[in-house]
Order: sequence, then structure tokens, then C-alpha cells
Amino acid sequence: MLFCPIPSVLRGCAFDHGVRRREHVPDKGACHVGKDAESWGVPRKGEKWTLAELIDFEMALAAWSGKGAPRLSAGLSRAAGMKLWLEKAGRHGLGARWVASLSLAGALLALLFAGLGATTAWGTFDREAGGVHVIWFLAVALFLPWCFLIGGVLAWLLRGRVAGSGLAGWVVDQLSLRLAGKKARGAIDRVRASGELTKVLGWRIARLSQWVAASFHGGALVGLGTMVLFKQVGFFWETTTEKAMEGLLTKAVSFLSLPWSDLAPWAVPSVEASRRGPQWDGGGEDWWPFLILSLLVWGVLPRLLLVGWAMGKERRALASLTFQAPDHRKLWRSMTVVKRGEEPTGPVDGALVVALEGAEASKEILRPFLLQVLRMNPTGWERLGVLDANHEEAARKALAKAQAGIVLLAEGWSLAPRSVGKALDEITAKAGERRVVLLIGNPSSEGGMREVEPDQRIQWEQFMDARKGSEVELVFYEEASE
Amino acid sequence: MNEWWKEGVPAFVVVGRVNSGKSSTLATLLEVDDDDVLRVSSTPGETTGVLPLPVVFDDEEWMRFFDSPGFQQPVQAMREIERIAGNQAPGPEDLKVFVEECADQYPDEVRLLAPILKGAGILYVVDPCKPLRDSFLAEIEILRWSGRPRLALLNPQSEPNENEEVWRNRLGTAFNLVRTFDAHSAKYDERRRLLQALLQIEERHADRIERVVEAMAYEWDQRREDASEAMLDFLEKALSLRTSDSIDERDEGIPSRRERKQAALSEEYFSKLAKLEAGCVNKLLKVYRHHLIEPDVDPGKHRGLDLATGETWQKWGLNRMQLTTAGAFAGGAAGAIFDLGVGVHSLGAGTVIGALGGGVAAFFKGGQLPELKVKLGGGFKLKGGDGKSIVVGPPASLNFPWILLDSMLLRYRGILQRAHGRRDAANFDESGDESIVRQFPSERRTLLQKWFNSCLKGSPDRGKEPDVFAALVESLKEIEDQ
Repeated sequence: MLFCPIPSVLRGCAFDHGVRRREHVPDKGACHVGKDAESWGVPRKGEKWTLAELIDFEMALAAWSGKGAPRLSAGLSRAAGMKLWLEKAGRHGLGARWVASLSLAGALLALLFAGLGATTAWGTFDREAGGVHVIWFLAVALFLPWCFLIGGVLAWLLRGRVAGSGLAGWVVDQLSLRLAGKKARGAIDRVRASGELTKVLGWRIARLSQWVAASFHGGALVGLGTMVLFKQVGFFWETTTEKAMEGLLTKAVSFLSLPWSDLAPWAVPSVEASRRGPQWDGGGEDWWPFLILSLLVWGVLPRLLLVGWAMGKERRALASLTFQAPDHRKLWRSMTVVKRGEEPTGPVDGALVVALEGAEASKEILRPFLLQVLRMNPTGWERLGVLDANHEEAARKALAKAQAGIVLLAEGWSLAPRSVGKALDEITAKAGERRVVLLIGNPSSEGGMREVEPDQRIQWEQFMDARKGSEVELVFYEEASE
Repeated sequence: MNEWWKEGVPAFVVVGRVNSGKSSTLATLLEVDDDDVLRVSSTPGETTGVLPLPVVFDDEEWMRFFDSPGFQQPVQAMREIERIAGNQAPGPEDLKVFVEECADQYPDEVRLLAPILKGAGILYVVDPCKPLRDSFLAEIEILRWSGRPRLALLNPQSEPNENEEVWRNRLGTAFNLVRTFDAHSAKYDERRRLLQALLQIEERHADRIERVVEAMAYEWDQRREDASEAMLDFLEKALSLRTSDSIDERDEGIPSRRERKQAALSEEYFSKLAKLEAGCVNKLLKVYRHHLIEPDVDPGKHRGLDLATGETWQKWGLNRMQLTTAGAFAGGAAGAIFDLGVGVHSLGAGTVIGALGGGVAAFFKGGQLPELKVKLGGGFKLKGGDGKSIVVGPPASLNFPWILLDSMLLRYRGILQRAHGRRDAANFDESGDESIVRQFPSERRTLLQKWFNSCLKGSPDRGKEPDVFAALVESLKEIEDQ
């Protein structure tokens, strides 16, 4: 029994989304953390989640039948409660496999892109001229990756808002299914439906993609370094629009070298001197320190910062899980539900009225008499001693069900001792400790009831006196006085 | 129920004059609208015996109420007890003797006193609109002699009059507390206050009564969340609802055939909408333990929402200015994302255009009657030749989601106002009610408008769904507090 003292503690939890918003509680994940933990936004022990656990949780929730959730003890936060449920439901290691696959894919991509970066650096080396085309180098090794980043951010911001983006989603879907197989459909749908998992997974992918981009810049840096170390190489630029390009390049160089121009003026190249004219024969060596520093400061470093930022965002997302998706709410309610007991079924004071030999009377007229005088609530009406065998059978079945008592209704003028005696024997045998009343009245032709004649009353009293030891109450119908 | 008395469980017996509203008080307090369990009617003497009604939460009985037959001969019973007591002032011991010896003469009084003598507290129900007769004074005296904790409940059954003050003064001398509890209109707060009043008169079992109060409060929060889930589900399904069929290209060119198809699809659309609506109302009724009321939804005329009348569109949903503002904010937010995406190079044009577009559309389209959107599309091959699909729904008016929400909120209010002590099957008449959504703060309207837009497009925004859920919970709470 984990009921005590549920309410004051759990009420806030089950309801915490709205409450938190009103009260501006900083920690979204734990609604009942201690004051210190709450003020620092730090989840308590047992409330921290990892991406692998979150994936396992969503998968387990997808397979959950909706029953058998454990009852939570008081004071447990939603994050801790969900974790407890995950432990009970059992983890199948799918999350760990997902995370490992992601990390492996990230590492492979990082390696590939590092190689690509080195190749890019070497690709800008013009063998014929014997030098590196700096414009190409800057464009491909620095500018292009940033364009990809900006394009990605834009696509994310405008997702679902630009015509055709649905098509892109469909293409991504099809590709994912092709790569991951049809079996992954459930998992992909699950990730999509869970906003929080998508968010955490998104930050993990963002982190990995920044690692990959950093590797690309790193690869380009290594490529350039090896080129300078092992090869006699010059640096130049040339275009058909010399003046415009010279101005643009000068501005780009002065902007890119802003962080170190004061400290290392030797790492700021001369744009004019490195223009490749007809007489160009090598030179421009002051470019390589600039290019290496540019790759470091504008390539590798910001990407590493972004890796750190994405990592921090992922951690914060994991620490502030609210578990407010529809399935989460359903699970939470099933773990914290206060279950009201069932109401008593059926009337506990219900009595069966059995009309003997078709002694019919209006139920509406008889009911107040039964309620107010006999204090019995008529809930079933049957007939005994009639030609229709079905009625007899129904009456016998009903005898077993009447909870409070049985009323045998007989007509005052038709006392047939054998018949009545047999009926009474049958009823008292089945009644057990229930109350049995023999009600005597004379049904009128209009469906009402009349009191019995005095001589009839005497006959019935004599009949009952003869049944010694009987617990049956003999009651004569009395018309209500006006 | 095998044992009518349970040691250690606080018990309260509801007593009073015949037809004073004892059963309806208990029905409302315990939310029982099943006439088989608690019979409520104008027939005096409906309650024939002492009926135990346990309050069970999480499979444990925390307290117990007893419904009892009313006092029928209080003056005579009082004299009999005084006779038993002799020269001394009557007390509990004399009542015991009365119960043991006078069951035949005073069956109802004996029955209702039995649980009191066992240790049950007393809830004495009176109609303060009736004059204070001697028979009532006798009832009050008999109950006072029991020495048990006593709470008097004023259950007015007609317009208040000067008798109430007389009642209060008299009851104040013999009862620990006097409270008003209208069994035909009492809402959750009044029920809670009544239970809290029991805490004041029965301190020995304070812990158990407190737990019941807390469990009821927690259960109430759960219900609010369940109701919000039902409404959220209804809104999502209703706003995403479409009916479609294929149309042959030859039929497409003939207006009469196209219109016939369109009319059939419109009818199907409103029929499906009515089913969704009925499903939602049924869920709300079940959550709040109402079994007697049938949801008033007619698929033919669609009376439930009355979407075909202009009055509905003027009365419910947002007014034109609110709709315009919500549309402008929602459009502006979408435009702002575009501005952000292009690095604010658009100088805020996206926000302005989005806000203008959303606002103008809402201003001009918000009040239009429910003409369903009709879309011809596809162009897929049919067996018999080339064909297109015709898709119908939802109504073009931007006020449509607001009217749906308003309709549900008004019904919710009706359900809350319906006491379980009522036994009529009258439905909620929300025709005279004013819009609830118009009272929403503008941030909530903007949030809901954005989510409605996503549902109307057929792809509900899962990211916003938890916020929308929280907003609905908040709205329901406001309705409860009204």
C-alpha cells in the first residue's frame, strides 16, 4: 500500500506542467527536488537520464500494454518515476546500441572528413603554377563548411514552413528506411512522436556533426602543414576581376586576421604581393601562417566550441525532461492514480415480489405500500402457479437473486392451502436468512388493490397458525388513509 | 457487504425526516447517480434500511457513510426514551435500551439509531425552508442524547425564507457544527468543505478523514487532466478530419454530379464530427461519474454544435478582434522565423507580412458560416478511367476550432454543475451560455491558434502539444473556480 500520504505530494507531480509555469520553478525535470537542488536546477540522484536510457524508455513505452505499471511512492519526481518504470519494464539495450552506432558513425565520418580536409588542402595546390590558390583554399576549406552550417540551421528553422519541405522530409524518411530497414519504422515513428527524445537526439547529432566539421578543418590544417613542411610551395591568387577581388580579399584577410593581427603581424599576408601575374614565380610564403591560424581560429576552434555548446544543450535537455508527451502523461497517471473503490452493485435492499396464481396488481400502487409499510424495496416481479412454464422458471431463478427479501403476493379470496403451502415451502427453503412476507390483498379490476374481507382474513390467519414454526410474516394489504 | 459495521473505520450516519434529502445528500457527496444503489425520489420512505456506503481508495476503506430510513415517529420515540430514562436525563444507555426493546414499535428509529450507538457520527439533514415543528425538536433531542459528534446540514429544497434563521439558532444549541449543503447543486468545493467539516467534529479519526479529503483532491486533479486529454484528442481529430472520395473526370465536368458528391461528403463529414463530439462528451461524463445523461449530439441536424446556424458563430468562439489578433500573432511568429532564418536581412518584413496575412485572413474569414473546404486533387488512375479525388473539410472559417473548444468547455461547465443527487436525465442546455474562450488571456489564444493551425493542416504540432495540454488544464481549472 503506497497510498499514504499521496495527495499533497503527488498532486504537484501529476500536474506539474501547469504548476511549474505559474510558479516559474527553474528545474523543469524534478518537481519535488529539495530546495537546494531545485534552486540550482540540479536533478537529484536517480533522476539523471542518458540518451541510451531515453531511447530504451521510448521503445519500452511503445510496447507497453497500458497495464501493470508500478505504484509510485510519495515524493518521487516525474523523471525518477519514469526511470523506476523503465527499470521494472526492463531495458533491452537498444538505446546503448543506437548510441554506440551513432558514435561509430560519427567517428567514421570524422575520419573520412579529416581525410577529405587534407585532400581539399592538397587539391588547391596548382601543380602547374607550383603554388596554392589562396582564394580556392579559403573558399573550400573555410567558407564552404560554414555555408553548410548556415544552410542546415536555416533548413531547421524553416522546417515545415516552406513549400516542398515536406517532400524533403519524405525523402529523408525513405532514405532512413532504406538504410535502417523496415523494422526501424516503429523506432523512427517513436522518435518523431517524442519531442524530448527528438530534441536530445538532435543535440547529439549536432554535436557529432560539429566534430565531423572540426575534423574537416583539422584535416585541411594537417594537409596544409604537411604541404608546407615537405614541399617548396608558393601562395597566390588570380582572377579576371583583379581590382574587385583584391579589395574583397584584402577585406577578408583583415577581418580573418583580426584576432591575431596585433600580436602576430607577420601572420597577416600581403594581398597585393601575392597576386599571380605573368611574371609570378613563387612567393607569398606569408600566407601559410595566416591560413593555418585561420583554420585554427575560424575553423577548428568555433567547431569545438559548438561541440561543447551542443553537449551542454544535450545535458540540459536530459536534465530537464518533463515527460509531458501524451503517452508519458498516460503512464504517469497510471503510476500515480488514486483508484476509487467500486460502488455496491445493485440494490442491497432489493426484494422480489412473486404473484401467486396470477394475482396481478399495479406495481405503481403496490410499491409505496411495500416501501413504507413493509420497508421492502421491490426490484423484481415474477409469477408462480401459472400455466406458462417459462414464468415459473424465471421466478425460481429470481428467488436466488433477491438480496433483501421475498414477498409472496396472494389473493384473499383464493386460499388453496396445498398450493400456497407448497409455494411457501419452496420460497422459505431458498430464502435462507432473508425476510419472507406473505402479502394478502384483493387486486381490483382496474389494477389497484383492495383490502381483504374480514372472513378471508380469518381464513389466512388460521392457515398460517397451522404452519407452526414458520418464519413467514403474514401481512394484509391496507389502503392508505386519505 | 457482509459486515455492516467495521471497527477502526470512521463512520457517519445520515439521518433526518423522511424525504428531507438524506439519500440525495449522500449521492452528491459520494458521486453516486445510480438509483439502484441510492434511491432518490419524491416517494416518502424510499430508504428502507441502513445502507452502508464505504469510501474506498486504493482498495482500502478509509471511512464509511450510512444512509438511513427517516424518522417517522420522533415525538413518540422521544417519550418512550424519556420513560426508559425515568427521572434522569436520557443518555446513550437509554437509547441502547430503546433500540433493544422497541424495534417492533419504532422500526425506523431503531434502525437509524443502531449505527449511532455503535459509534458513528451524525449528519442530520433538514430542509430549512420548512417550519421548525415539535417533531423536529424531538429528533434533535434524541440525537443530542446519543452524545455522538453531530453536524447539521441545511439542505434547502425551495427558496430560502425566514425559517432558516430559526433553524440555525435551534441547531446551534444541539450540534457541533451547522453547514449548508444543497444536494441538488453542490459542486466539488462544497463536497470538500463538507468533508473538512467532519474533521472538525470527529478528531479521533482525523488522519483517515484527512486522507480521504486529500485523495478526493488528487482524484479531482486527475479528472481535470483526463478531461483535458479527452478534449485535446477530440480537437486534434476534429480539426484533422477530412472526408474524401474519388470523382471521375467525366463527373467532375458536370456541376450537378460534382455538387451531389460534395453534398454527400459534407454530410459524412458532419456525421463523423458528431461522432467524435459524442465520444468526447461521453468520456467527460464517465470521468465525472455521470451515468444518467446522454450526450445531446444529433448527427442529422448536428444540434450539438449547431454549426449550421449563424448564431453559433456569433456567440461562441472568439470575436472578430480576438480572432484577428490571434491570427496576426500566429502569422507574425511564423514570419519572424523566416526573418531569423535569413539573418534579419529581411528587416522584419517576414514578421510584418506574416502578421498582416494572418490578421487579414482571420478578420475576413473568421465569421463566415461553415462552408466546408473542398479540394480537388490527386489525379490517380481509377479502374474505369482517369479520375481525381475530392476532399471535403474542415469548415473554412478560422473560428471553427474555437467554436469546437467553446462547445466542449461549456459542456464541461455543465457537467461540473450537475450534482449526482439529481435523478433527471435533462441534458445540458448551453444555448444561453456565453463564450468561455473569449475570456482567455491573449498568450493562450495565440498558443492555441498556432496549434489549431497545425491541426487544420493535418500535421499537429507535437512540440506545442504539451503546452496546449497545460493551457487546457489551466482553462478547466478556471472554469471550476468560477
